[in-house]
Amino acid sequence: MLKEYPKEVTLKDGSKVTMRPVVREDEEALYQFFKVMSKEDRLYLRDDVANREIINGWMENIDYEKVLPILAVDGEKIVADATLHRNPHGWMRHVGEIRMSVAGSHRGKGLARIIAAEIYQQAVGFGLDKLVAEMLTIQKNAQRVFERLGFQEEAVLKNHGMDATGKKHDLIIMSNDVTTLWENWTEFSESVSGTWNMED
Amino acid sequence: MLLERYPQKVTLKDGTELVLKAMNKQDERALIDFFEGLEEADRLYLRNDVSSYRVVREWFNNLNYNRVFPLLAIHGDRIVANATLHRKPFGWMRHVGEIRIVVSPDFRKKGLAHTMFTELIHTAAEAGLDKLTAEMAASQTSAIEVFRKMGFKDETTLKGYIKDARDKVHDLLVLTLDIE
Repeated sequence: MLKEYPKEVTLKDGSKVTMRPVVREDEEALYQFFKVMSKEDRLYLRDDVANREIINGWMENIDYEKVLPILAVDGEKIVADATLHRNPHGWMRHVGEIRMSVAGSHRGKGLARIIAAEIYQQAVGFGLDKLVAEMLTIQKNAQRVFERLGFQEEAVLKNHGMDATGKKHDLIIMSNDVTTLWENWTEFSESVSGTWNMED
Repeated sequence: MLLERYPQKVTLKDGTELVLKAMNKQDERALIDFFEGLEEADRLYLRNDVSSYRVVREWFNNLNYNRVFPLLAIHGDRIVANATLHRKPFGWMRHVGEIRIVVSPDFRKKGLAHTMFTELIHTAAEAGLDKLTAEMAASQTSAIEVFRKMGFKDETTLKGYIKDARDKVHDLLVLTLDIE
């Protein structure tokens, strides 16, 4: 499944990025990716990504079975990071969670949809039935991105998400039926902005 | 976590004496026996594949009371209940804890879940948590009743989020309790 990587992709502005799974050596680049994020963006991220120990902890324990991070790389720089989280042995073994971040420099180029499509492909390959995405109610952009990807709001948990300042927000759970999406795959891939060239 | 509280003797309302203690590496064999002693109906909905030796071994290799605080109820040399408080000390849900409780079939209806829950709520409050969650299949009516009696309210039902041991899909009910 991961043999198809690295893949080169052309964005709608003609620029190219390489998609590939994360490896141990990406720690510094990943730390930098989060470091250059605006304070506002980082305010609402679910993990304390400014904390080097946290990033290091992830990188020391890479396990694609549980967390599969796909990166979009432009030269040496990581410009997007999407992860598929699952528990292959548990009661939610048919459900995957998607989390993503796109660098400020690379927004508006259709990269969110492209990287989400990579995660979808992996989800289908793993036999998942459902993909979920979680975000704070204040993250309106994220909600729009996921709506355009076909996700629908499923639940709102009150005061469930605390931002970096300690302020509580409601947490939205959005979900997408993978099998339905796969049936509509052609329709979906055509809706992805930008040419999508897959080179071996 | 105030581990100085454990081990602790408790007496249930029917006079049964038990010891509560924090789980440690020595308890692995006893925990496997505990899960094997559950009835098929109980194991149908367990969230982890506890029959997998690998899964259980991973827990014991990664004991971290700041992430998962596992409280055991012991009768003689048997584990008769396992209650855990799960949390992530960093990130969005650092103020939220999740409670899971499993009681041996022969020790139910004695108020044991409630006793263990009281201990965990104490631990949660000390850790600065202000919200607790409990998750179960919408069809687990007895378990749901136990949590409702402890003050939890139904917060949301997530459709088709759970697959049982026979691969049948169920709705997931999330119950929550705000703690001060």
